Amino acid sequence: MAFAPLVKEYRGETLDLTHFGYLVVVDENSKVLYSVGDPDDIVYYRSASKPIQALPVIARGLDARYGITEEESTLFAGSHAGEPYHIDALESILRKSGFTEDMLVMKPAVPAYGPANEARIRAGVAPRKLFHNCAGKHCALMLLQRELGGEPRDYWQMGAVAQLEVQRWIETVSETRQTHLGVDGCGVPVFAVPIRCIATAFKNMVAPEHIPDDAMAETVSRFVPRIHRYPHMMRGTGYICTEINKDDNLLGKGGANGVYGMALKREKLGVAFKFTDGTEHLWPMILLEVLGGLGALSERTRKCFEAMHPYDIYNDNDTLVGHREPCFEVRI
Amino acid sequence: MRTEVLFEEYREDVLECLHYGNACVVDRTGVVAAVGDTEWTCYYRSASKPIQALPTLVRGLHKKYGLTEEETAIFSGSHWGDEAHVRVCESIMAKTGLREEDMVMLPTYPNRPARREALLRANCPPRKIYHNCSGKHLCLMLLARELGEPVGDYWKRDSRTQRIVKEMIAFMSDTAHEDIRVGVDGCGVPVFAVPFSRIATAYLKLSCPELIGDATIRGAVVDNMRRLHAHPDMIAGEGVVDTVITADPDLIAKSGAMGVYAIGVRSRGLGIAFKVIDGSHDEFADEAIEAFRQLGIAPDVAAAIRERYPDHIMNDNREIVGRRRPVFKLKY
Repeated sequence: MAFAPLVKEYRGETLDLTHFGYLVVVDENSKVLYSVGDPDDIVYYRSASKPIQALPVIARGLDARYGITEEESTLFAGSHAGEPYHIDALESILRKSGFTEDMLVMKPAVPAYGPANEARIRAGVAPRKLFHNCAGKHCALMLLQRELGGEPRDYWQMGAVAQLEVQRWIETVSETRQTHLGVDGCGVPVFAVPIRCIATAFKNMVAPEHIPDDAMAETVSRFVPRIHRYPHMMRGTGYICTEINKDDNLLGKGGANGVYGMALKREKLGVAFKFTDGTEHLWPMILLEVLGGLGALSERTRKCFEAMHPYDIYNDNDTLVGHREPCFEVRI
Repeated sequence: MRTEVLFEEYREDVLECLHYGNACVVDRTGVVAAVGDTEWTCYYRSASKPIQALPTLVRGLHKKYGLTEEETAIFSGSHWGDEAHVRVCESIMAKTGLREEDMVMLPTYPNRPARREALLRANCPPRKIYHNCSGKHLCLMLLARELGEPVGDYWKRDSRTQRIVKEMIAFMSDTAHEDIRVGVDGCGVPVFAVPFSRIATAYLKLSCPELIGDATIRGAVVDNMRRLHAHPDMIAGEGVVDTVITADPDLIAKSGAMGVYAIGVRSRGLGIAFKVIDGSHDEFADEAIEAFRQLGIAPDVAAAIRERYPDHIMNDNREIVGRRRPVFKLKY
C-alpha cells in the first residue's frame, strides 16, 4: 500500500485535516501517465462500476425488448438520489419487466436527496427499496439473471449467472483478471481491482475501439451517449455525478468510500482517484485540479464545480472559516 | 506533523479505508504514551466545552438564576436535541430571560435522526436551541450579560467574554495565552487550538481537580464533574458514546468536531486525547475501547460501548461485510 496526501484543510491559518489517497491518469493505451500513490494498489470500485454493470443488459437488448426507454435504462448505470422522477422511472421499469419491488435484495431505504427525504417524512411515507440509490442496478441485474436462465431473485448471490457475466464485462473493460470480490452496501457482489484499471475502464468507455471485444465495444458506444443525454439519472439535482455528465466530453461516476472514475473523450484519457479515508465531499476539488491540469476544464464545468465551494470551508452559519489546498499538481 | 494509522477498515479481505491520526496519554508528570507527534497545534472544537463553561460557573451565575444541576450540566455538552435537552434549554431561558433570537447560530434540526424526523413529520420549524451547541451559547450569553457586555456580542472574538474564556482555556491547558490560536467554530463562536498533548492535560485536570492550583476554579470543576456524572445525558444524549463513558463517575469523555476525542480517568490520573486527521467521527467508540484495553481501564464501560457500537461494518441490509481494526499502540 502506497498512497499520499491529496488535500490539506486549514481552519483559520491552522492545519486541521489531511486527506490521503490515490490518483492515476492513463492514456489511450492504458499506460499510466501520472499517479499519486501506487497505481497497482487494489481498491473497490463500489458504485463506480455501475456504468459497466449495465452493459450486459444493453448488449442483449433487454431494455428495448421490454419497452424500457433510453432514459429509464440510464438508471441502470446510476446511483439515483430518490427524487420523484427516479421513482417513477423505476416503477415503470419494474412494471415493464414484470418484476415487483419485493424481489429486490436490499432493505427499505430513504432518499439521499434531502428535500425528497423531507417530503417523504412530512407525507408519512415509509422507507422503500426503490428509494435505495442502487435500485436501478438491481433491476438491470434481475433482467440479466432471468435472461441467462437463472432465478431472478438470486441475482445478488456470489456465483449467480448474472454476477459471473458482470464480472466478465468488468474484467474485459478494465483490462484485468485480478478481481477481488466483496459485498457492497446494497448486498450484491462488489469488485476490487488495481486502481489504474478503473482509470482504464473509464477511458475504454469513451474510446471503445480499445476494448478487446467487438460486441462489448459496440454496446459501450450505444450506451454511453445515454448518460450524456440523461445525466439526471446518474444521481440527481445538484450532484457531481449528474453535473459532470452534462459535459459530453467527460464521463464520471463515483462510488462509496471515496472512489471516483472519470474519462476525457477528446483527450482519450482515463482518471481514477480514491480518498483512503472514504471522503466523498472533496471530489469536486480533485476533478477541478485534474481537469485543469489536463487542460480539459470547460467553462461550464468549472463554474459548476466552483459553485460547490471546494476550496472554501464554511461553518453552520455560512461564515468562511477556512480553506483547502491540493497536495499535488497534475502534469503529463 | 507525523501521524500514524489508527484504524483499518476491511471489506472482506481487501483493505478499503484507513484513518490516520494522533493519540496522546498524559499523567501528572507529562506525556506517558503517544501515537505520532504530540506538540502540534490542534483545535479543541467542542471538546473545550467543559472548560468554556468554567468562567460562568466560577462567577456562580447558575446559582444566581436558580438553575438546576441538570440545567447547568448542559453548558458542558454537545446535546443531541432530545426532548430533555429542549426542555432544559427552555427552562434556562425562562429563568434567565435569555432569548433564543440572540443566539448567533442559524436555526437547525437536532443531531439525532429520529428526533429530526419526528419534528419534520409534525411540521415543526428548525430552531436555534436544537443546535448541539445551544447549551454552550446560553452559558456564554449569561457570562456576557454579567460582564456588562451586550448579550448579542457574546460570540465576538474581541469581546471581554471571549477573552475571559480564552484565559480559562490557557489556564486549564497549561498553555501561555499568546500560544493559543483562535479560529471560528461550526456554530460561529471562537474556537481554540493548543498543543495536542494539552487537550489530554486539560482532561487530566478535569478528572483530578486537586491538580488545579486556583481554589475557585478547582471548586467549580469539582461541582461540574459531579453534575456531569449525575446527568451524563446532558453531555451528548442517551446511548451516545460520550454519555455512556461519562455515566461512570471515574471517567469523562467529550467529542469535538473533525475527529477530536478527549477522555479523563480519575482513578489512574490520566488524560487521553485523540485526533483522526481526516476528521472522521466514526472512530470515537473504538478509540475509547482500544485505549481502555491497552491501558487496562474500565472493561465494563468498554463492554457497554461495544454493545452499542459494533466493530464490524454492516451494509444497508444489516449484513456484516467487513471489520474495523485498531492498529495503533499507545507506546510508553
